[in-house]
This record gives sequence, C-alpha cells and structure tokens, in this order.
Amino acid sequence: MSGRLSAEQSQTLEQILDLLIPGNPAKGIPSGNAPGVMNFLQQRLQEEGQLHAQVAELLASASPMVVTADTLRQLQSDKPQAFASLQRLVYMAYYSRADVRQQLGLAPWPVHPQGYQVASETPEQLDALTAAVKARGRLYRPC
Amino acid sequence: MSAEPVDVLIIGAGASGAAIAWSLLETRMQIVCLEQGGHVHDKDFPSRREDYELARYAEFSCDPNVRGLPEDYPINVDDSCIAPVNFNGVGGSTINFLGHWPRMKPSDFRAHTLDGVASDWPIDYATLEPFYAMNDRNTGVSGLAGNPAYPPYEPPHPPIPIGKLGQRLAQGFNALGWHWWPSDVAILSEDVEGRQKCVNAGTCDLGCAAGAKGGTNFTYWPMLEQAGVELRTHSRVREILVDEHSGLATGVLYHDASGQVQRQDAELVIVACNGIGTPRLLLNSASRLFPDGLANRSGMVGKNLMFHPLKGVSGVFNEPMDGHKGPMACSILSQEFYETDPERDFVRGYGLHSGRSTTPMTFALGGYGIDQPIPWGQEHRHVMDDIYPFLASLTIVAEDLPEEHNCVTLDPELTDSDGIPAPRVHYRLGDNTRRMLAHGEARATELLQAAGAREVLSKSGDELWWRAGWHQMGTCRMGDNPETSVVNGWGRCHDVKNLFIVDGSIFVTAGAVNPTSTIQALALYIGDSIKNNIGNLFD
Ligand SMILES: Cc1cc2nc3c(=O)[nH]c(=O)nc-3n(C[C@H](O)[C@H](O)[C@H](O)COP(=O)(O)OP(=O)(O)OC[C@H]3O[C@@H](n4cnc5c(N)ncnc54)[C@H](O)[C@@H]3O)c2cc1C
Ligand code: SF4
Repeated sequence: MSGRLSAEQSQTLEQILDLLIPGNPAKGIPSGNAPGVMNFLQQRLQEEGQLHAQVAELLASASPMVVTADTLRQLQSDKPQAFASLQRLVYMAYYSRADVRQQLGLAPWPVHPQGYQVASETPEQLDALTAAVKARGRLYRPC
Repeated sequence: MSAEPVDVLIIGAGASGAAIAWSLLETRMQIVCLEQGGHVHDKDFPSRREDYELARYAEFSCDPNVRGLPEDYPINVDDSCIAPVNFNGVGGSTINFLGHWPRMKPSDFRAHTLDGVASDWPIDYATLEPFYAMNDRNTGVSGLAGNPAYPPYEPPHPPIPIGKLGQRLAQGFNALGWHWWPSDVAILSEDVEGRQKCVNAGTCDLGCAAGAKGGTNFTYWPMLEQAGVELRTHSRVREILVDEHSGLATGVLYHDASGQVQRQDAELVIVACNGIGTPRLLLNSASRLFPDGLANRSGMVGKNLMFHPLKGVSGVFNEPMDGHKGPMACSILSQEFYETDPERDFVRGYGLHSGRSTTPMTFALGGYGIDQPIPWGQEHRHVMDDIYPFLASLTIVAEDLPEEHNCVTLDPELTDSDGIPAPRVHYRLGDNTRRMLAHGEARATELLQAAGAREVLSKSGDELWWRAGWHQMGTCRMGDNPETSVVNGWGRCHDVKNLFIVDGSIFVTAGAVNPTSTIQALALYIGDSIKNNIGNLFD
C-alpha cells in the first residue's frame, strides 16, 4: 500500500515531528515540523509502499490522541521497527534542508564548488608544533 | 562475439588497474581495460546538490548492497561483522575514497621475522620506495616531509591545513610525548594542471567535484585515454579463459552494456578487481584444469581476508571544532603504537587517525559507517547543540592478521544483474585485533583528555564500525612458495604464467595504514617487473 497520508494522519505526524526533533527558538532552529519536512515525507511514503504501511500502522496507534513523549516512547517499544524507519526518515527529511544546516553552523549552499575557507598553518607554526615529535627521533624499525 | 586479440587486457579501472596501465604505456603494447561500471562525471557528484547528504543513503552509499546499481554486485555479509564497501566505475573505489595516504612501514614487510606472526613479504620497503614516490607525483600527494616514523621522503605538495581540530589534538599528543604528524593525503593543497586545490568541502566520499582528490578518475584515466588505452565501460568479466594444453590464460568472456556475452582474447591478462572482486572472479573461472578456481592450486584464493577493523572515540571540547571543514578522513595521524611492544598483550599495532566530524544528517543517523541514530526528543536537541559542534574524534585503525577462516567464497544463490555468482564474506574479529582495539580505545581516551576534552564518548564493548570494510586485502597473497601463495613476488600467478594480479588481494599482511598508496606502488612495481622480464615473461 502507498499513497498520501490523510489529513488526520498528517496532523498526528506533525505532532510526532515536533517531539522527535524539538526546536531551539533561542538559536532560531526549527523543530522537526520545519517547512518542507512533511512534503519530503509524503513523497517518500508515496514512493515506498512498505514504509507507508509501517508509518500508517504507527500513526493508527498514536491517533486520535494528543501525542506526547510518553505516547512516542510506548510506540517505540511496541513497534520498534516501524518506529526506527520513521525516525530515520524524519532525520533525513529534516537535515537535508539547507536552512537547518545553516542554523547548525554549516553552509546552506551545496558544498561544491565553494567549500569552506580554512587557513593553512604557516611553516613556522608547523615547525613549532612538530618540534617535540622530531626531537624524540626515529620511530620506525629499520629492516 | 569475439574481438581481435590484444596484447594486454586489464580487468578493473580502479586504483590498481589505472596504475599498471600507466606503467605499461611506454611498451606501446595494445592495452584494453574492461570495467563493469561507467564514467562518473564530476558535474554529477552529489556534493553539487543542495540535499547532498541524502546520496550517502542511496546511489552514492559506499555499500554496494545499498546502492544496488546494475553495475554493482551484491555481497553476502550475513557471516561477517564488517561489511565491505566499494565503488564500481571508472576510478573504482577511489571515486568515493577519502584520500588518506600513509605508506606502509619497513617492518610491515617483515612481520614473521620481526614478530613471529603471519609471513614476510617477498619484497621490502626499499624496493617499493621509488614506486611510492612515482605514484605520489602522478596522484598529487600533499604532506609534510620529515616524519620520524618513516625513512626520509618528501611529498610533492605542501600539507593541507590540519585545522583547529588537528592543532588541538596535536597539543594533546605533545603533552603526552606521543608521536603525531600531519597526514599525507592524496588531496591537492595547490592547483595543478586542470585540477583545483581542495576547497575543504568535507564530503570526499561523495566524489570530489573539485578534482582535488587523487582518484584515478582525475589522475591516471584522463591521461591514459588520451594516450590510447581503450577503456571499455559497462563490460563485466564473467570468466577468465585458459588453454587446456598450455595452461595459459587466453582471454575473457564478458557481458557488454546490453548483457550480451562477448569474448576478448589477450596475450597477458591482469586482474585489478580488488580484494573481494578478484577472488570472486578467479573462483568463478573454474575449469577442468583448475576445478577449485583459476590459479588456485594452493587453495589460497579467497583466503586470509584482512580489513582494518576500526573503533572511534570522540572528545567533546569547550569551543567549536569546525569538524565539517576540511577533508573527511585526514588531519593528523599518530603512529605511537604502531610497532610491536612486548609489554602489550598483542603483537603488531595500530594508528590513531584524527577524522573530522561529519555533516549533520550523517551524524544524526549515527555517524559514518555506523548507522545507529542518535536519540530523539530533548536528548536530540542536547546532542546536536551541545555536542556535535564541539567534537574532535580519533579512529583506531588496527592491523588485522591473516587468518584462513576469514575468506571470500561464492554464494550458491545470490548473483549480480548478469547472473554471475556473487561473493560471500566470512569474517570474524581475531583475538589479537580485539585486544589491540581495546588498547587503542584506552589510549585515545587518554589523549582526548590530555587535549582538553570535557567529555569522552565511545561505543560500548565490542561494537565495531559496520560499514568499515574499506580496505580489502590478502585474498590472493604474494609469496615465493606456490603451495602457500597465489602470486609470486611480482604479481604473476604461480599457476598461470600470463596472469597477473595487482590489487590489494596480493597483500601478505595489512599493516595499520590505509592501503591505496601501497596498492598503486605495487602495481607500478609489477608493471616495471613485466617490462624488465618482457623477453622471458612466460618462462
Ligand atoms: C568509502 C571509502 C573510503 C576509502 N578511504 C580510503 C582512504 O582514505 N585511503 C585509502 O588508502 N583507501 C581508502 N579506501 C580504499 C580504496 O578505495 C581502495 O583501497 C582502492 O580503491 C582499491 O583499489 P583496487 O584497484 O584494488 O580496487 P578498486 O579501486 O575498487 O577497483 C576495482 C574495479 O574493478 C571493477 N571490477 C570488479 N569486478 C569486475 C569484473 N568482474 N569485471 C569488470 N570490472 C570489474 C570494479 O567495478 C572497480 O571499478 C576507501 C574506500 C572506500 C569505499
Ligand atoms: S574536501 Fe577537498 S578533497 Fe574532499 S571532496 Fe572537498 S575538495 Fe575534494
């Protein structure tokens, strides 16, 4: 079975996303329910029938209650495999977002071609750092 | 269908296949290379995409069982605690390798004489030294001369930055009086002829779109194709053929891109399919003359599989370590515990490698090579905000010893997309290696504390990196004795005089360093030996 999640399932999942990855408002880091995450999940669930079935089963056990951390812990212990699949998928969805990466101190852009600036150590710096190693002398067995 | 015979047929366009093709270029022999994968163009590397990390769990996974592309072959790993990883295409596993480039050390070639374990190699460090240097120039290696852990040599390019993380760890090593040195890397620290210097993107396993990393897709292959070596891609060899009377290899049967079986005859056949692919091919080439697999009268084809089992230990520091900036694997390397010390409860030794920390998705999913997600909920927030940015890690890279029960066989059911039997890996961790890893974990903890870590994190008990079978060695080992080895001291099969093996499968021991600089130096040495013996090659 595959397909889009119903409105009720989506609502439950949104609560789960907030709980799986809480945000950090002080640093402007969004929760797991960040823009784009639901779309990513919907798309993957549409493509992968088995995953859809696992997640639908989890959501059925969770809804229509208000989902709390305790509910999630219970789900994790009752349906460890389905829970693990969802957790993995959510981490992939959330951390593939450029804005989230940026909040964590990484560049939002694709890492190539721009990359990052890292200063090279000067020869003098390296000399100073390695002086003690050189002073201890040879460290291989000649043979 | 059968093509005109050629002089030299190389199977596999990875690290070793490229190096030997380059060595044989000057002979003006006609060289054809058959490679099961295709060209992977740098514009298609995932690191150019915004969601680049997702590729690690799909088409650019290092695990062929996850990628599952038509050019991959599956590997049955049910009986192994480490999964072999690779890449199949022009460049082989140097497409996604990390470019850490230490050489083996003189004592690595003499483990039996010095330490009473394994066997000595039929060649030594001094013999390989000029080929290491030649290959370093061709590849574009960066590093700092003067490392007291080696006989003197000079890397062709200055070192890449060791960065904040490397500097901090170096101070810890200095405080304890232990060896460390900036890593040699097959990564350019300066622009060179059409290749850009490293831009510190930190995603070397996703292909290096800068061309800074010395994969043979950037180094040897462009040069070789221009010089007239014919590289036939999407050509998967299913069997090497032998003449029943002469006992010589005559050529191969291979599947072309459409799956059709073709025949290519050759005077000289060179196998470069890596430590898993090569024994697989030889075992799949059984015949009346060689009922147990081609060139396997010793029974050693597929035996003595060695990896470098790994464990990681991480320190949490008080300031951000910028671990995502810079090449993934290599900042500094300590060989303080590399050589045998009779005071320890194991022989041989290990290296302490400072890997950088990875990107957030990979970290959240459990780290490179591990795959166990970090917790969810408030603990997740704590780990991502208060630990991840502050990490500096050490990887203990242990020398594995050759043990016959660690081996590659053919799976009775599993096949690749052309119906060729797939390899099955049987591997368990030896007691010596286990003790070595425990020692390494304790030393790494000590070091991280000396470097100022406020907390040290390591995995529990016996937990190893699962997808850590990056280095596959020993499965067609070299030796002077045809009863205990597959190839002689210059890569020629004892049993088939025009069949050569040049990849990591011919290693006698594993050392405790990444193997590719040695694999390619060996391939160049074998190429040189072929040239020197050309008059009586098949005697
Ligand atoms: C993720 C990762 C990180 C790594 N990091 C490092 C590192 O930092 N430093 C280091 O030294 N090493 C590293 N390695 C290991 C390194 O890539 C290998 O040691 C090296 O590439 C092995 O060279 P090879 O020639 O033996 O095989 P490969 O480079 O694997 O090439 C073998 C080629 O043979 C082809 N082939 C196999 N069977 C057939 C067949 N039947 N017909 C036709 N073609 C065939 C394959 O498609 C492949 O292209 C890493 C590897 C991986 C996967
Ligand atoms: S970090 Fe450097 S070597 Fe690695 S992929 Fe980026 S540019 Fe290439």
